Amino acid sequence: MAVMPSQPVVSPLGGPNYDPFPIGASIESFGRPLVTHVQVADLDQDGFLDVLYCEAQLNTVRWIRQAPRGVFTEQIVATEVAGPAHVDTADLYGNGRLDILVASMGQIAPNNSRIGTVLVLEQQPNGAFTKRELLTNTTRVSDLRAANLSGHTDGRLDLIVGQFGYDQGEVRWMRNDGDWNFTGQIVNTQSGTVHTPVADFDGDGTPDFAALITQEWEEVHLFTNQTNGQFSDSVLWASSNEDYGSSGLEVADLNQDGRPDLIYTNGDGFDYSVRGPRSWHGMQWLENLGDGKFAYHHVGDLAGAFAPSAADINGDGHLDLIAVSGYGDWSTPDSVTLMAWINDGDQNFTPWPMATSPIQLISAAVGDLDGNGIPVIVTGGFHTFPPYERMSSVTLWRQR
Amino acid sequence: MSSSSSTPTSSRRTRWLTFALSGAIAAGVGYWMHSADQPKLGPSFQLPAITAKDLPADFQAQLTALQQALQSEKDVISNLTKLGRLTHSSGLPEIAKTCWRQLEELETTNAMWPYYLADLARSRRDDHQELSNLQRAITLDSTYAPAHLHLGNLYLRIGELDLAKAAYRSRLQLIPDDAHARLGLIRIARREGRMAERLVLLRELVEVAPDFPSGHNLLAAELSAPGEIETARQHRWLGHSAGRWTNAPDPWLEQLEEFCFDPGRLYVLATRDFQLDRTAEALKWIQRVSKLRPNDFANLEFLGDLYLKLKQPSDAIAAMERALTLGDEITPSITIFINLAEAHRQNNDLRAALSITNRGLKYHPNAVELHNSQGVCFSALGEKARSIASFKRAIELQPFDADANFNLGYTLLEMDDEAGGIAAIRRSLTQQPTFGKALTFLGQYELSVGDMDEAGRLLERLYDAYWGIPEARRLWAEWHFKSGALIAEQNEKEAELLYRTGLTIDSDFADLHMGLGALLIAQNRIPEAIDALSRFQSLQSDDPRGFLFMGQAFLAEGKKSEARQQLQIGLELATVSGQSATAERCRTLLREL
Repeated sequence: MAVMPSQPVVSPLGGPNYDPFPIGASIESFGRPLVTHVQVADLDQDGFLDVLYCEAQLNTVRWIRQAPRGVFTEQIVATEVAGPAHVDTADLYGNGRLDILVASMGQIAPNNSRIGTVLVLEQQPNGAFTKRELLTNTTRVSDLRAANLSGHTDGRLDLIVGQFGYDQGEVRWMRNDGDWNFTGQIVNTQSGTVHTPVADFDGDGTPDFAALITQEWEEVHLFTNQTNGQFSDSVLWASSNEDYGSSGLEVADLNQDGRPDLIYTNGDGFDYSVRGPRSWHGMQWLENLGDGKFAYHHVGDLAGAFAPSAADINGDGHLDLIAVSGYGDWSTPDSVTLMAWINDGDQNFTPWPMATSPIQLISAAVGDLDGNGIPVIVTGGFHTFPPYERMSSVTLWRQR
Repeated sequence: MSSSSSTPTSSRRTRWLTFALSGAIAAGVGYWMHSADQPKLGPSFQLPAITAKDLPADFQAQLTALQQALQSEKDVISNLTKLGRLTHSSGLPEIAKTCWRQLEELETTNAMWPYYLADLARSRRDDHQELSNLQRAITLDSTYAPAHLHLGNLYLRIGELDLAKAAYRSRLQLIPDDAHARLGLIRIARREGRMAERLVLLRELVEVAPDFPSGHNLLAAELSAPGEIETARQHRWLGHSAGRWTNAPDPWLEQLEEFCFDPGRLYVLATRDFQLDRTAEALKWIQRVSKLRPNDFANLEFLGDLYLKLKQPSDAIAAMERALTLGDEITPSITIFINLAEAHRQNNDLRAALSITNRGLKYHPNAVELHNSQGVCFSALGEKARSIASFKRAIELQPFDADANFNLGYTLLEMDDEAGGIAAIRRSLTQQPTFGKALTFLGQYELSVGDMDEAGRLLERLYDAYWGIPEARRLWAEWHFKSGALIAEQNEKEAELLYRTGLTIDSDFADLHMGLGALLIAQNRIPEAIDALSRFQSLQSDDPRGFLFMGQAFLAEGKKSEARQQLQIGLELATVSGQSATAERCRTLLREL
């Protein structure tokens, strides 16, 4: 999600400083928090942005509601969600209420079993949520998003499903046939899909989607909507390094040319023995040149990089980039855990380390949560490996 | 040595001396050979300065020796090659590039040098340079198959599908069964929408390369028709069992690994080889790191972990105990105590395992793993009450920890707390829904208490997750048998379907053949019944029930002699084995004859 401030605060010397503020349930309530994803959305549409997150220690989906401004109150909106990995919101039936889309992996740790679930928490008129499992016993589901892929005219939205699996995985879309019936169509059968961001990449007025496919593939795919229920699959970029560690893919019009670009982190260090940083970890972006062409640009290094976000954090009118680190060298106290790259307007980026604690962050989102036009960053702590120190659950980062 | 070449690079020379090498080495200085018989270094040859710090002493020594050898202008080709390999494999690509370029100038027909340059270009994601270097390498030596594969992969990456196809086919001409090139062609077929052809190619791939995981994985995903479910499961399992995907063999690049002095890269190599069951090689890489970093806690911890996985507990203990002596400034990790305790358990020294666990808890009082490990030690020592307390403490800290819950459940069952035990084992599935031990135990438990719905839910999951494990198949087949037997009298059709499905899962599950045979006799489908019972008898030749039912089948066909023979054998076997009901039934039928 890209956020542009309405009240620029120019910082010509670099980036701004941010301070952390824990929100939501305490670290102690989880033991070791396993926040797999944070999302910013105004779920109750009261004009204040809220935080949604899923965590895999107690297998819950939670809503940290902001109301009134600056007051955050957490409630659990779903329990017994096995291995929740990604949360998003969308009004799937055009009824004015945001439903919660949850990608349920079944288990976050590596597993090749078909234990994934496509889960929607349908928002009822009274604000309660009803669980709807739209696909079960499938390869582990890692991402779930909504878009009108098939030209509905009644407000219905279809679903895009990334399925990491492990040895086997898929990318599919699910046509919304109405009344909570969905028809799935697999568009790719490679394992390791992490994220499936949606945008009109080819500018034809219909949404397409991309997929970051990891495991042995390490590729970024584009699925172009042919508008007849078919999607053409092309590879935008691929690494020849099987240990590249692709970790996050999102959409942002970084150069503000009207064409959605892709921002992309690699920093997954989940491997046995050498879980941790690699020299090639970092941030990059794929510039959308039009006509299905994308150009790769390296932005900067960050050991264990995850969760690419774009926001104008120094108020100069240009989108900067932000990422967190899940697998830094935590034996080194100055290992960076929250990093920005400041954009000079020509997509030349200056690294701006923002924090070294808390550590082991694999999720981040950005939004104008304070309503002052200054981007607020939200991060989630994922403490599945040692050291179990400098831990966090959900943290709000505000400009000092 | 030329003054004109040394003067402009004096600052670089200073850096070189500062950062890396001993005084006699002159970085950035041009070298060439005086002997007309020896290859000469070109006048423009300059080695870049080394900017990396903290290079391992052995590595620096080798660099220095090679630099000096080059300065002495002897064995230029050999020394440049060594220097190139050393720096290429150890994270100094600029020096390696300079070496390979120089070698390319000196040996214009050797494909290896542009091939190495292509690899460096690939590492820095320079498609253009990779392409031109690969093309040069192939022009010089079209028989080196890995070059064609890299070229195909590169063309595939940049969307030049026809060129990719040509490159893969060139490789297949050299290695007809090559899985990687076949995979490339399969991926192109999908990209071009030739789905039927893709399926044919996938089937060929798993045929010619049964140990190649990606072929099975992709084929499993393609097999979605109802009649292909079991075949898809089979390929899912084969793909999973084939293990880690790995790069195609590449002797030229593999040669470089021997020269690696980069600990990070060595860890990657060790991990790769360990995951490929090349444990001796894995150990070799880690031992090299140990030489480079003899007092590195993390390396000793990793070495201990590797020894433990290799079932060498004494070596593991030695490595990890050494790590623990490294100094007070290091807080030992939780992992090292867990692994040390496990190593002591493997050595059957339970007291030592408990002692090291308790030591770990002093450093990490809230470590779930250590409380669980402590419980395991107490349990093995027969101190059940204390083990339960340890497991409960672990669960307080992490309510759904799979190991702690399973261990608690198992121990409670040992203490005759069935309800508590079953509840704890069920909780172990929360974070690990395919935890094999828990699924197996609970599935058997539900079968034993007759909750077929719950048993079915658990055992189907077990079967789906562990398709190739005989125990998982047997239990799922047993569920089909018991479910069929429960409804055989009320719903013969459904019972038959259950039996037959069970037999597709485990064709050697004898009771299914017997149940099916008995069911078919009841329906007067005698030839089919005899087939099923024959199979049962072949599997259970001393089971009197087979002879009883076979006798009944022959009776139904009016074959009294064969029936009598079967029933008499059945009577004898039932009498010997004390199966009085079967014996009595045989007697009754024999009397009626």
